[in-house]
Parts: sequence; structure tokens; C-alpha cells
Amino acid sequence: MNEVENAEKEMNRGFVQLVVLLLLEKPMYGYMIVRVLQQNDILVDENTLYPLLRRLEEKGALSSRWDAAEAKARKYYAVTDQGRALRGSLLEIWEHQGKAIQTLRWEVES
Amino acid sequence: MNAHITEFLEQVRPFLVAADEQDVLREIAGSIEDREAAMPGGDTDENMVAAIAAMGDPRDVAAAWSTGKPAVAVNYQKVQWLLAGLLYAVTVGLAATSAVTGSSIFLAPLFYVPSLTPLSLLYYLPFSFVFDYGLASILIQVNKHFGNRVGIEWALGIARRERDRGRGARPTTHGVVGGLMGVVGALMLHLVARFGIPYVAWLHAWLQGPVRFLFPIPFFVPFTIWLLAMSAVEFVVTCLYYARNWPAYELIRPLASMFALLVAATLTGPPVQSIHGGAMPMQVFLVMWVLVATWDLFKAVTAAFFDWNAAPEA
Repeated sequence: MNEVENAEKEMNRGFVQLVVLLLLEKPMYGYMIVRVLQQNDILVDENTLYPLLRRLEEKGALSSRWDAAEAKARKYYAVTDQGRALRGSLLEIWEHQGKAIQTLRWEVES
Repeated sequence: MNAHITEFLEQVRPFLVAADEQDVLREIAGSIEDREAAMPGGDTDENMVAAIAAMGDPRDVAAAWSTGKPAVAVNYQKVQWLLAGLLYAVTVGLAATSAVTGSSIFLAPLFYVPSLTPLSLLYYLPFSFVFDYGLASILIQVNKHFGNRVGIEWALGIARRERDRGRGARPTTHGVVGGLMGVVGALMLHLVARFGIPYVAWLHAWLQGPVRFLFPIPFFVPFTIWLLAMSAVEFVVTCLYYARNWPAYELIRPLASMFALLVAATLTGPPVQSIHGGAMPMQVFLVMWVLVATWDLFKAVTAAFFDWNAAPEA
């Protein structure tokens, strides 16, 4: 794995967390999240996504329920109020970092 | 559930933390089925195999999906090696100090180094390596090879009687606690004997060489060797049983254990010869009692360890 891939992996951790918290306003199961992210050009490995979902659930940012009504039992995740608060904080950080990058680039390039 | 999925889940299960085991396995199964359904051709045997292969190594899957981590898991093998190395490094440091100063060093409760000379240091270090670092290495390899999890959950689970695999008699809490008291008694007796009972002159002369450094109490030597031989054989047979599922295990295990005892006893000679040198009858009785208690503990813990970590019957 080269340096760019390493950096991308590091940056993706917070990014995927934020994306998941945005996406789960509507309840979804794991594989559905993977597919929706793929359609939006965000590639997430399942072995990364599922542990993230479980961690967020453990922290109370997500809630889950098993739906056995379909042929396959699926675990649906949805964002909680605590998750929405976390999402708000993460969005602020993300926007702040974006602005800081823009400002720095502008200063360097001008 | 598809047989391939069931097989894969059984490979993942030993590496999971017990608390969220069922939930994780259910979710992994659902994920594999979804992945397979999305493949061209849909629900076919080839697609199922491919979907499972895409999940990756069962150990990695378990490590990635577990939120709680056991105290010692596959992911922490480097830490195990590091700790084992540190233990040995401390032993080397103490042994070198002992060789320079000429006095014995005891750091409670782990480290004891007898009085060494620079020459005896050369004997001591390789043996110490085998018994400190080497033993830890063997345990790590067994853990790695057989996929057993060594975690706090295991000990807590025994105490809470959370899981019963139904394989023979399960050790009860009082049995384990009683055994632990036996080990504590053994340690105390060891210290009393080490510092309070004079060496038997002829046995002291007989125990020339590196063995003396390992077992500083003469009358303990035969007992300890017997116990170690029986424990080692029983452990190996138990490992093989869980790896190969021998049907004759219940018969083979005691037979192998008795054979080990016979060989060890033949090699060491009877312990009464060493006891005649001066140990009191009560001390002999205590030694016997503590050894039996330690042996029972070993059996109970070994059985509990494998029962706890074994995959449940389908």
C-alpha cells in the first residue's frame, strides 16, 4: 500500500462515519448502505462498514432492529438523536477543515 | 442456511467475542447472501463460494466485525510476543546481575534467580529461555493454530456459568476457586520450603547441572516433573482431540497421561527417597495435597478452556 492509499484510508475513517450518519435518516441494512454509497462513487469495504455501524450503535449514535419479515433476516440501522448531534459536530469540523484548506491553498497559490 | 455459509461461520466463530457472537454471525450471513444475490447469475453454488471468498480470511473477518476485543486475540499476537520477550529480557537482566553480584534475586511474584556464577549463567539462560519465552511461544502457537481465544470473557463466563457445551463434566466455580487456593498454597509452600528447609545433602549433590537452577527445592523435583509430563501429554492429546475430533479421546487421554507418568517416574526415581532426607511428614502430606489440587485445577481449566472455545454442535 502506497502513501496515498494510506492517507486515503486515514481520511476515509471520519468521512465514512459522517456519510453513514447522513445516510441513515432512512433506516437501511448494511449491504444496502454499501450499494447506495457505491452508486455515489464512495467505495467502502464491508469489513470496514459493519464494524463502524456496530461501533456507532454501541455509542448510541445508531439504533438497530432485526427485520425478519423478508425472506432474509436483515438488521436495519437508523440514526438516533445522539447520532444527529454527533453528525452536526462532524459536519462543523468537516466544513471548518474544508475552509481552512481553501484558505491555505489560496494563500500559497496567490 | 446454506452449507457453505454455515461452514464459514463456524470458522469465524472461535475468533469472535462471546457477547455479540450471535448478532455478528447473523449479520455476516446476511451480508454474504446479499453479496451473492447481487452477482450475475444470482443464487448459485459458485456465486456463494465466490461471495464467501470475497469476505476474506475468517480471522480477519472476526477481528474486523467484533466491537469488543478479547484480552488476547489473533490481532494481539505481536503484543503476546512482546510481553514474552520482555519477561525473558527481565530474567536475563536479573540473571546477569546475579552472576555479577553472586547473590540470588527474588522479585515477587514472578521472578526468582538463584545465585549464579558467570559459568552457571551459560547453563541458566538457555533453560530459562525454554521455560519462560519458549513456553509462552508454544502457548501462542497453540492459540494461533487451533484458533482458541484467550480472553477475560472466558474466565468470567466460567464464573457466571454462561455457556455449557455439554461435553462432560464442567468445572464449577468452587472447583476453580478451590484449585486456585491450591496453587496459592503451592506457591507459599514453595517459598517456605525454598527458604526454610535445609537442602538434603546427597540430593543436592545429585542435582548437579542446570536442573538445579530450575527447581531449587529438592523434594519437589520428582513431583514437578511428573506433573509437567502428565500435564503436557494431556494438553497435547486434548489439542489433537479438538483438531481431529477423536472418538476415543476419553480413553486415550487418561492412558496417555498414565503413560507419561510411568515414563517420568521411571526417569526420575521415586520421590520418597528425596523426602527421607529431612522433610516432615506433615510437609510431605501438604506437598501431596497441593500437587493433587494443582493437578485438578489444571484438568478443570484445560477442559473449561476448550469447552468454552469449541465451536458448538450444529
